[in-house]
Amino acid sequence: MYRSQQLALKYFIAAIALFGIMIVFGLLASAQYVHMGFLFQVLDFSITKTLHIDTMILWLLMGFMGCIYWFLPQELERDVEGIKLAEIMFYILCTAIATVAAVFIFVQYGGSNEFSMWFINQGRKYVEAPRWAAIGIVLVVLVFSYNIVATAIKAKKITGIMGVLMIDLVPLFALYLIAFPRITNMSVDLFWWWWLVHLWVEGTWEVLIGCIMALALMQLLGTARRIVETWLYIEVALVLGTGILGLGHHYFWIGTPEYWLAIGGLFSALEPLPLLGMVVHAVYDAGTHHMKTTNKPALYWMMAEAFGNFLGAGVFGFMMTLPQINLFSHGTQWTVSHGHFAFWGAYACGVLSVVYVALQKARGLEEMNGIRWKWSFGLLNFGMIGMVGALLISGIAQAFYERAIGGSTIQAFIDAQSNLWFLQGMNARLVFGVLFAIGYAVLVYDLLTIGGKHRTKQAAVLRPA
Amino acid sequence: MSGYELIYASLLLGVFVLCAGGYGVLYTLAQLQNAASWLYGARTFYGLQWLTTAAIVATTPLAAGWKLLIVVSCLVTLRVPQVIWKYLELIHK
Repeated sequence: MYRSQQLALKYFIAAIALFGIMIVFGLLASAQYVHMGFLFQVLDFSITKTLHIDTMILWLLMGFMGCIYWFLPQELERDVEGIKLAEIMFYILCTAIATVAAVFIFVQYGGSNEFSMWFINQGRKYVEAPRWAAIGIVLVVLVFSYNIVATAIKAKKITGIMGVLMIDLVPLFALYLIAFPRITNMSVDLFWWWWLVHLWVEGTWEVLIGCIMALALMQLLGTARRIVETWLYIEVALVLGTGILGLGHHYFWIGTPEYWLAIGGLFSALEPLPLLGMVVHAVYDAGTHHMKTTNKPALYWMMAEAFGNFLGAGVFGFMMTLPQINLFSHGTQWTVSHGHFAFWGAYACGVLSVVYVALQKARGLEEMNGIRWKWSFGLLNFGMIGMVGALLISGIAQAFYERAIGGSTIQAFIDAQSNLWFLQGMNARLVFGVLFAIGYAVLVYDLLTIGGKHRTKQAAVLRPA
Repeated sequence: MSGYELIYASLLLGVFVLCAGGYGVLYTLAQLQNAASWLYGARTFYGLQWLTTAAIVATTPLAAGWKLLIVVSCLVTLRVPQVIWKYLELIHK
């Protein structure tokens, strides 16, 4: 195994640990919806929610980095350039995350001044990390980019996938810089902030996961490079073609000109088309191979990625993206429902698929199968579908009672929060959240033990008489 | 838009995309297994998508521009799985 792949395994361990922390804070936040006073002034909702969202971004980011560090030496047939620096950065990133989390939990608040911005909380949703940590993230991404570009240059080999990946590194790095400016006009601030949030997620991350899935497909199903690369180009063109201006659906109600209603609505409405293409491709690939593979969990998670992305981003997104609907639905649990499902389908399932691909090779297993991964696959997906269904009910209740009937007044907001449909939705979300957490526990157990018997047998065979 | 119109229109929009997905999946399965039953299923889903489109156009208060977009999307959806299938076959040869 290459040194870079050993680093990838560390990234996967950190990512799965953060996934667990994300679930814990998600459960706490959902419990706070059901029991309003739960942990009040000890660990407030604002903190549990922040930690839930930030760990979600970080576990996926670390998962992506793990995937790239895993596949890069295989793709370029040499170890990663600057691997020592990458290893140092991994520990710096872990330390920074732990420190920021500790500050969020134990300090929580600060005044609205330079000190709190640098050391407690920047105060911007999704990029709450204090400025010192944000600079750290920039450094980590810079080193990550250096690793990829320098390795390709040293190897004198730039494949189609590598070309797409290297181009993607530019916006991946540049867009994060939007976390830094201090803009006092809220509309202008939100205008640029959405570049970071939307274009990272529906631009650079989509391309990144496309590259990762292309590399995984070659390893998992032995699909020819020519095929995955051609498909990658098409998917990237379609996703970016619809996704970049799909940014407009965030500009509907933040004080931007009215033409964004048409642009955002039109391009968002086109976004399901490439997702439909992905589903057709997934069924084609699985069908031509008759679902036969030596790594069943990886294949199933990959299939879940295509279908989850279509349902979460495509179906749930389209339900609420046209401006006339979005006027009522934005910022309610309806959006939360769409967000959960889309992130799960588009990214989380893909990362989990590659984790199984990596484990198969790391443990030298000819075949990956068993019963536990099926339980975790079932519980996690069932839990997620239950959660997003429950959130959808709560969100629709909010849009109906608070916005459409109540006219978005403060009293209407309070009334909707105590509406039975809303409350039952939030209760159901907590129950399905617990199921999801059980699925996670089974997943961790499976990841730790899968192939254990095989390894014991192998060790017995290798042991000298 | 009233509350009931909001829920009705958004659910129809969700069903619209779901039907497109069902059509795409069943069309691909029909081609893979060369089975007429899957193809009937695919056509049923596409038919349902047209019914949903008709309901959106005729009964929701969405603006005319969005209704036109839905009709065009439904027309385009017919060709999406077919074009992708042909292309997939081409690059796999």
